[in-house]
Amino acid sequence: MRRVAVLSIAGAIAVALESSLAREVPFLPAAPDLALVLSVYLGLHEHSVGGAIGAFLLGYLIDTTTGPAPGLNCLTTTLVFGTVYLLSRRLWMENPASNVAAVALGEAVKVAVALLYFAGLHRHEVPWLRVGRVLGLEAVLAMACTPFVFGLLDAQLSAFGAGKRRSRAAATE
Amino acid sequence: MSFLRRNSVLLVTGLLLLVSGSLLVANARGPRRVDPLGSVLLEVLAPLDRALGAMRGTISRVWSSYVDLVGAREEAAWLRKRLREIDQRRESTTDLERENARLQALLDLRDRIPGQGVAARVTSAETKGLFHSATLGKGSRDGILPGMAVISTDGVVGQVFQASPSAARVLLLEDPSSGIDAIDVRTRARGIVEGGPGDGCRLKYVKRGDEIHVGDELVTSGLDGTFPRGVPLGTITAIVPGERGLFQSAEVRPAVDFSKVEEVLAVATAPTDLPPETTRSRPAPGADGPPASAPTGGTAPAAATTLPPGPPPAPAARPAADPSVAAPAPAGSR
Repeated sequence: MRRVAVLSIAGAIAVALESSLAREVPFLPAAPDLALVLSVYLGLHEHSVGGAIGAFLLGYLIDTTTGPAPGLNCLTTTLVFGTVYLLSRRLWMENPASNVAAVALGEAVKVAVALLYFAGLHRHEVPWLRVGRVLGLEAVLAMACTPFVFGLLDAQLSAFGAGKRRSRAAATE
Repeated sequence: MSFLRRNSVLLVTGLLLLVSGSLLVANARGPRRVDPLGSVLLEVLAPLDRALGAMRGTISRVWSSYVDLVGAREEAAWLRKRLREIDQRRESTTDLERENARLQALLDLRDRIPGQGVAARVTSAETKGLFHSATLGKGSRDGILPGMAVISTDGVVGQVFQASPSAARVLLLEDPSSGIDAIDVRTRARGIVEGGPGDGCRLKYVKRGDEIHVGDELVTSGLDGTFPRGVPLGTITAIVPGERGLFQSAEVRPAVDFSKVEEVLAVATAPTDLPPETTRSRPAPGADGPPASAPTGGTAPAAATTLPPGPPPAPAARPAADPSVAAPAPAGSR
């Protein structure tokens, strides 16, 4: 329960930061995609139905607060959760480099979903430059803050006596 | 049942993906937003959004203040720079006005003196070494020749002792090798102004019976044939005490500050009087006439201008001394 509480608070802070405060920092060209980073964290460490629902809710909250296209972010975060979940069941991903790589993979998924949205569903001309610039910057920022976010979450979970769960692949090694 | 339990995460994820996709498709099809929980969440999140908005405003204000501060600093730096430029321009204008006044005065001086005068700029002046000299920016090509008198609007500067086609060197009045025939404006006492042992000059070979006082002004007598008559030489600052013999001496402060003189006039002139207004100090009545204390019996010293080794001064600079008088002959004797 404490684990759920800590992760919920972390999710709320991430959504608040991503949807509001981080966009107001003048020297930041884009807001880091903290919801996606949290989804990756859930995919790596929360191998449960709760993790999937948490990832979905993160995306849905982002969609509600900022997204002009409801469903886009929750699709992305859920897809990222599923992808990382499947990978972490087969690969050892318990080090910072693989965490950053997982976030990069999540960003690639997000780009794919965005392109699909623009090109397939919305029938718009794909704004390649905009997608590349915004999502590229978000990806760089997200990858840059991944070690910090993961470290902070681990520290908070340990502090509240809800240490992180190891993935199944890591557990079997 | 075990399949469901084993793959519950994947199944739920798939279900959520379906929900997400449906939401996306539903909202992509029409202009109306299909988001059943969105309005509820929006209402729930409204207070949080307001709080975040306040924080956002604070951050914005802090950042704007910072940016404004940076802008104000840059503006202040720019204004300071501009002020410096204006100050420099004003100084430059003032300098130009002063230079213009000096040149105008020099031009007036040249118009008043008889003979040929060549205006020149002092390019350097050595006033601290053993020998005191200055270099002019014009030379023989412009008509400046050794032996010419050099004067400024303040008074006597010295005498040209060396000239090249484009430059000339001047022996300054206060150089120990220099000597110019002088006359006391007030008492008409005559003597020779030489470079002193220290700074300043010394008036020498003044007859013991002649009256000289501190504060008396000295001008050229014109008898040396080099300097026009009546050009200021300096002011007596002290009478040298304890001297014996036929002559007395006095300390003289030169009329010209040699370290600050910038433009001069090189004059090749016959010994002719200058108009009274040429001199900065007005001579006493009768000063334009022949020297009141003209030597009788040849006791007055010979006017002389002594030059360092080099081209000899103009012949006119060495008026013959009365051979019958055993007066010291400064010309070339020191």
